[in-house]
Amino acid sequence: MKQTLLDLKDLDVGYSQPLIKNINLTVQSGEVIAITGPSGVGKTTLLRTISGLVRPLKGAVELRVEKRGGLGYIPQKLGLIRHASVEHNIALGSISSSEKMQMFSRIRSAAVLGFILSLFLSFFQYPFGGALFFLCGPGILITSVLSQRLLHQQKQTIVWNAMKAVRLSDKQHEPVRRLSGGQQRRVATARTLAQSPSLIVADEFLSELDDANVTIVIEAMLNIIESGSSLIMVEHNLVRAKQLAHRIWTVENGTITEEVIEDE
Amino acid sequence: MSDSPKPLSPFKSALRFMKSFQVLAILTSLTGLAFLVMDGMIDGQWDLVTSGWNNVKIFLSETGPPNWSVLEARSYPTCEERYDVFCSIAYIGMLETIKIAFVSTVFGFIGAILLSSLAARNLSPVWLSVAIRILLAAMRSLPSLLWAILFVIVLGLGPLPGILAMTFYTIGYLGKLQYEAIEGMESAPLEASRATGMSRPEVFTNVVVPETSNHLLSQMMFMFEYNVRHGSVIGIVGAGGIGYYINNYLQFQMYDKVFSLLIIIFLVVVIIDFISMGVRSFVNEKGDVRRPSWLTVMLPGKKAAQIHHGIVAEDED
Repeated sequence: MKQTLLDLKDLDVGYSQPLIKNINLTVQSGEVIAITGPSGVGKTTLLRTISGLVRPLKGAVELRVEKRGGLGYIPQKLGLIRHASVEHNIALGSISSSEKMQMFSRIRSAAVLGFILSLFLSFFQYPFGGALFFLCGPGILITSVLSQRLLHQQKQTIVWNAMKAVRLSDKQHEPVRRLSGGQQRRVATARTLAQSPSLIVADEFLSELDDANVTIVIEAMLNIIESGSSLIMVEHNLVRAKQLAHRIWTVENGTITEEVIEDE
Repeated sequence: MSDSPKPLSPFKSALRFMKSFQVLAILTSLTGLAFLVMDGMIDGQWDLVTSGWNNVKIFLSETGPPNWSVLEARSYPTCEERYDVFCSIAYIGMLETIKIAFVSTVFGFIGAILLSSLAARNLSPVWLSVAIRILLAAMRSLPSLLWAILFVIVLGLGPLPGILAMTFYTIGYLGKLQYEAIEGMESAPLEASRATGMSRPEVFTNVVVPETSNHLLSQMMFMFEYNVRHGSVIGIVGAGGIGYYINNYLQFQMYDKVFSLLIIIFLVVVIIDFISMGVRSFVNEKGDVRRPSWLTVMLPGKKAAQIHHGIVAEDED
């Protein structure tokens, strides 16, 4: 059963003047949408508006995905942390990924806060605070350590799987700045895979890649799409767009036209 | 339509030629203006400079060579250390200055990073960022020396007022450097993480801190060096450190000992600068580049290149 993940209603996008007017489109789960059109017509602005980074000038963007981690965004400049390792960059995706992770994270935060609070009380509310600290402190500390351990294990599994999917497991501890352009694009893809969002918004994520890298990235993306996620991507290569996408949105003269690609 | 570029008119060519001297013209005008302002301030008494030079000669002759007895053990209390130098005024004073600088840099850094995350325009709403910027400006508007006088009045003599004075100043100064570094970072990583629904503290700890780590480390090391240098100044008002001893020697006109203490401060600052360079090489791109060794710097170009590339080839094996 297909769900509507994105509903664009009478949408005008742009900064001070509208670049694209009156957009009325929807995206279903498991769909791949390719956006094409000449440079400077507002494709990136449309993606930024869908991602909630730019306010719509008119109309509404109705996103029916989880507020936290439901949308994955790969900007044109990738948005990687250049000084951090491949592992750290990919782990950023896992922060807002599963509910289990969020639960562990909340338990850990609560435990750490509780420990600090009881320590504070033990100093200022003697002897009551001291007794409370000795009674509750060890329990809180153990909870904190255990939740941290579980969080770490869960994160490691997610990150490792994402790294394997883009064939970067041998570069785990390498700083991103030392990687080639193609490898950096694979890291950005892996970050989104680790997040496993319902809707992926990718801005020219296949550009500047050689054929081997394109194959790796597309394979990884198709795997997540098969599990029900959707992909909206800006793609200049029309042949590739027709191979991958279910629908093509062509932006021209401030309007969008939709073309449905028939399955071969 | 011709393929070659259109030739410029003689007037435009002359203008372009003049433009190539604009940096020189600006510098000359600024220097001239500075001289004019200075002339007004000293009422044209330029002979003060020449007479001052004579005083410098007298001062240098009285200072003489540095007196390294500051590295010998003090006569009281009795030295129980293995080496005399550990009981010397230079060691005790410098160590206390470094301790004050270390503590105030660490506390100042923590305070500054918390406040700068709230002051950066790309992380916080306008009302909050303006309020925090005013607070930071207030903290650095008083130099650490004035903070030290204030805390000496409140808390009395010793290292504690020195620590508090330098911590306050560090927060104000470092906070400004940090929020400017945060505002200067690329927007793409921030946008990518915000779009995923990360909370503000998560964005700050997982994206902003690693992305600006090079600047943060560099600024922290600069501040530590600054605090070591200023630790010697605030000691003069009784806030502890090597400055206390410098002040004593100055009062007794023992300039040779002051001279040697100043050399020690200079050496410590140079060492900190080298440590800072090493620390930053872990996070900046220069750390990835093989630099020529001192040996190859001394050798002629061809030989140096041979040795340098030879080393690279060995590493690759």
